[in-house]
Amino acid sequence: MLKKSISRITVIGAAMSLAGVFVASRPSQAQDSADVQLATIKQYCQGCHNDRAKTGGVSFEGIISSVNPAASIAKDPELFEKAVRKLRGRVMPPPGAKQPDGKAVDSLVAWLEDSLDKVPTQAYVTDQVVLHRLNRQEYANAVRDLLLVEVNGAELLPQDDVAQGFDNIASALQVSPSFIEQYVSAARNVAVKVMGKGDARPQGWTFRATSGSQLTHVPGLPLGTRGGILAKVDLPADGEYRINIADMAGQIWGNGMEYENPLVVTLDNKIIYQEVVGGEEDNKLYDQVQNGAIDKLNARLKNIKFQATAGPHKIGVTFRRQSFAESDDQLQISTPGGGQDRSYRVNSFQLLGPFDAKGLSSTPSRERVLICNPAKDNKTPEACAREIFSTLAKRAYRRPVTNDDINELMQYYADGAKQGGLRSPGSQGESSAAFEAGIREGITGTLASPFFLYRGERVPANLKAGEKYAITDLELASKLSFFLWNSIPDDELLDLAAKNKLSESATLDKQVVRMLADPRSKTLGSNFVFQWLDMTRLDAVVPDNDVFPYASGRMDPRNDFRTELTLFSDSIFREDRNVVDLLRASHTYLNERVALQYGITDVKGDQFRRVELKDSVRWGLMGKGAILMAAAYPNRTSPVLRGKFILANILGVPPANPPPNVPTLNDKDIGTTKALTVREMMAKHRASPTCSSCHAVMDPLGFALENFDATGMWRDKDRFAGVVIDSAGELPDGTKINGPDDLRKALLRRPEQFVQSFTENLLTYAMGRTREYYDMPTVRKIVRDTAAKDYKVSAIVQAVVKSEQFKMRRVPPPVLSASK
Amino acid sequence: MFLSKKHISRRTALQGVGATLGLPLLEAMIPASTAWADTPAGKTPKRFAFIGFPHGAIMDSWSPKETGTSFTISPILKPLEPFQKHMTIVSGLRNKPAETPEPHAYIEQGWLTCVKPTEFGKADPNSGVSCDQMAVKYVGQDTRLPSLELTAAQGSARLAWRTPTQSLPQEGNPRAVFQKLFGQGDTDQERAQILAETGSILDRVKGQAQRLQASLGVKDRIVVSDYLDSVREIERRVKMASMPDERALTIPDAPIGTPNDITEYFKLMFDLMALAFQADITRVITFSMDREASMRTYTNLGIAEGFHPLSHHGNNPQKMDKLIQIQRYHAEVFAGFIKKIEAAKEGDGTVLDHSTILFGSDMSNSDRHNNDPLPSVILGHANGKIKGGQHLKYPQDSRHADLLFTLLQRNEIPVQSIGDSGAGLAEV
Repeated sequence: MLKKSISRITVIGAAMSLAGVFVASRPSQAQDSADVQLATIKQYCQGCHNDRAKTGGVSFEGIISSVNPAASIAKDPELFEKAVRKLRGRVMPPPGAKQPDGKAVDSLVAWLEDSLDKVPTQAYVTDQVVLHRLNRQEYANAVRDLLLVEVNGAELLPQDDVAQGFDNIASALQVSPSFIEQYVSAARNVAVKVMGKGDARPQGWTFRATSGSQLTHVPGLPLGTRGGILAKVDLPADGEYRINIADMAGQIWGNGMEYENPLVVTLDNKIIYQEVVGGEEDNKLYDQVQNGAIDKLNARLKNIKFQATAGPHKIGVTFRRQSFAESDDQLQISTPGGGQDRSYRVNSFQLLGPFDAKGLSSTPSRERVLICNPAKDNKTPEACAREIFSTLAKRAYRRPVTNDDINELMQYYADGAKQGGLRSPGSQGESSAAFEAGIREGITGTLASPFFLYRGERVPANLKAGEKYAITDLELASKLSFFLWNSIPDDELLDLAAKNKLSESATLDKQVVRMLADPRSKTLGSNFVFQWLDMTRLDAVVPDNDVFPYASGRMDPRNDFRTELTLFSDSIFREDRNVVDLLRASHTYLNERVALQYGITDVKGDQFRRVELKDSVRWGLMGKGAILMAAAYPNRTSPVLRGKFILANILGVPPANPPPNVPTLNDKDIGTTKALTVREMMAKHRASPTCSSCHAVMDPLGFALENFDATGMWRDKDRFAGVVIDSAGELPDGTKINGPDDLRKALLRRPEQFVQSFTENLLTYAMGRTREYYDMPTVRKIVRDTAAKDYKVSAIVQAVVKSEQFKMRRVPPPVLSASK
Repeated sequence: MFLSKKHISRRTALQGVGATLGLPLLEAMIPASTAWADTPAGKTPKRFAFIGFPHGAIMDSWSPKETGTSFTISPILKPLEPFQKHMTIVSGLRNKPAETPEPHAYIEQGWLTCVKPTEFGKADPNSGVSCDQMAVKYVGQDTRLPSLELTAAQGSARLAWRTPTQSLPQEGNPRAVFQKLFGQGDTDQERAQILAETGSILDRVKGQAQRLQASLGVKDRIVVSDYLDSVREIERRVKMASMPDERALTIPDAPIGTPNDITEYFKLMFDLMALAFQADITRVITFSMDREASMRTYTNLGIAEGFHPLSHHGNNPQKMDKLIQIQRYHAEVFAGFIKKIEAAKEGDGTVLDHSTILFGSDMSNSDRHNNDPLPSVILGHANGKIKGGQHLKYPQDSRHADLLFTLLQRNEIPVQSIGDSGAGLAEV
């Protein structure tokens, strides 16, 4: 009975087909004359979109009655781009209305696109706001490349607004007083991090264990340890530091106290403290003496003193790895890698210091900045400061520096030097303290400067409103580096730009290839891909511990999934492969945790490595845990979310939003007598014609992935309903698919649809402005032109940076609307 | 980097922030010289807090059965029972302008604006400004921070609209909130030094921004103008903070960051809000307790489902019961805030007496995404202008905007209207 109802729904789905997305033939090859197209519009669209009804404010009567339909399209390209997207997504005509067949829609889409591509316009050369404030990720990367310090942008700076899924869109990067305040504070914090502070007062940092097993090795900690916390910290001065480890003995029964847990504290991988928690003596103390035992045990984990120098350090609090054989708890294992409930964990520790600060040792940041030393180089402090600021400001402001720039920074220097000198008057260190403080203040000033925080593109004085012009080579250098590296340009780019050579076609191509190969381009795999695929969703999907004990809490695989997705995407970019490989590549990067989740048993240890996947269901993006999980709920899969993800993010044809006041799955019908599968629940949902219109398109795509549970693990059976997973479905064009392999093949039958979605998003990210209808001809052109180059990453990137969208601007009209 | 205007006793500090963190506070509490007498804080302040939770409420368990002054507190609001005489429950209101087919994105933006987000700025240049920011225009000048926008959600929230196009970012990191309230610097001396340094930075930054502006096109120049406006606003705050203050001020230690434990997190955010009111650092606070379509799991209540899927309860009694638990929990952590400001004496009464606090949701029945009737309760007395201690039930299609309008009216904020508001609600 159920089967019957599904097949009926599939038939409806076929009628409203998504053929534009899935049919193998290229629509343009089967193009009919304008008359035929107009007849289609007349028959299927005009019923609502006429001059009288004007449903949605749209009428097609103009084009239907026009003698020159191309001119009608040229008159309102925005409307027709919208129509194209609606048609490609099969959202129009609306469900319930008479539907044209798939071929007619394809033909109409091709005709409209051809006409749109021929519309002469310069609108895509923007006169809109392109003055970009560094967003917090860019800020952190810029500070890293400029000063060699790692900062967490999310901790220093307020959250940036997002437009069209991206956080680097100029118009969304507003400022408010609190932004200014926080950017000034951030500048000060970073300057202290860079220079250190020889007389720093004690302060506190707290480090917490991240998710992931505390029973296996934590990446970055010395081999031979298990679990614990690795803290990376920039210490402000040489001196004594102290560590307080969170209480371990606190449980009422003293669980696990009978076993020895040898704890070690490491500084840059060397042991500075060790102590055994648990074992016979502790157990006695806890079990027999009791009174005050908890305090006594925990006190051994407090006030651990050690000496450290200023600058970046790695501090570990962890356990020596030992055999689990001394505990028989392994027998009770219920989660992969779990079962050692009596092994102690480090939940958090606090670092305090410096006590009795004793000045500053050399650090990488100080060496990077202090390229001149008054004593050693036999120069006045002021001359040295000038030298230092010249180098710093050129990189920070991303252009040759002017006298004004240096003079301003020297004012900061004078302020700082005065304060620094005041603090240790007459002492031996007075002049060096003054110099230190002056440079520190200059760094603060550099980072607070709008020349650092903003990247703008100037308007040449001699042009009239509406005229096009190319951005300068220096502006191009910044635009390129923030696009491909999410950070400031390096000296090579700046030097080429200063000589006006960067914009030369061959040089530009070469630089794109160089930049893609550079490790800094990994931000494409992390930042760009994550925003394009809306991976912030993954942060919110906290796996339900009751349903997924093997993939929640400490076993939560999301962090490792993120790493896998980053490394996988990065490999496609940096190996300059066909972007379609994102959908089909047979390799990935696994560590033991992810491998376990994928049912692969011969990958051991926490280190990620490249693996050829034998099982083709895992090939490409749609087999990746991060994506399968982000498009699911914490406790169950959602074919709807997965189907919608494929439509919106992979194919670039987002389905319409659900109408208001739609009742959700009614639980009255569900669960009282037996657990239903998600498929059965969805079948009930689709029984309503309003719902079925979109769901008949989305759901089969999602159902094909139903063998992946909500944590991305393969399953043959629905554990709760106790039935075998049915991943069969029928695409709108009638193709029967069953499982991830079929889905992937279906998606690959029209690779250009995926490449278009990719290019559209990459162009948005590159331009740093919202994409509009008038950008679509360029997107389509890039897709067409790069087909012959196998859609190689470099070819698409080169086409993007050579597009007028990227490198040209238009002079805005002189007077602006009355608002300002 | 900034000083506040009012004495905070050590006890306040310990209850406020220290106790939550269990950190050694005493070293950090060094008195600063601050003045009280001639500051605007000397007058009885008008304070507002707008505290929203997403996904509505199970209305049967939110609204008391009886109306008027003697009503039995409802299950969800039970934790607020000790404050019943300070409480005005307003039932039956509808926020029609926010009704939309894109519920989560829009309803949130419509809660304090009562304007459809796509219509912001269209009817008149101020439509779409949220009522908290309307209040800021009249009560924001006298305090160091005109307003404080906060969230305890993962991801951004958009309740507060300063202009029809500018929503104010809501801060979720308690450490950042703390530094906003009390600034950087370990000691008075360091704070004073940082203050002076900030003054010179802002001064030079203005000059640089003008140089930058010169080379740009018209539209980009406006961005720089906005930037300069913001710089000037910070300058104003620096000046205000530098004014001498004769009363001793003690500032507690800063929180480390966002606690993992949700109850600890809520408590910390509410404690900081109470502190901000008590120290008169700001008079307008907007706080999102969670975000729209949140996937948070309230495992502290034994609830493992994501909040949003759960909110589509399909009238399943078990799911509804879990939602009631979550909603009561929200009321419970909120009650902690009310308790603090009720205990804080100030002038002729308490901080609560002088405050107007809306606690409610932008949605009614989360299963249907509707806005009718909204769950709303007012705490506080607006300096005696709000009676409190009653449950008011308005007829079908009474407007949520009238409630917001009334709250501003009671505080003598001279706005003409908010969204679709009419004459206001005389009974409140």
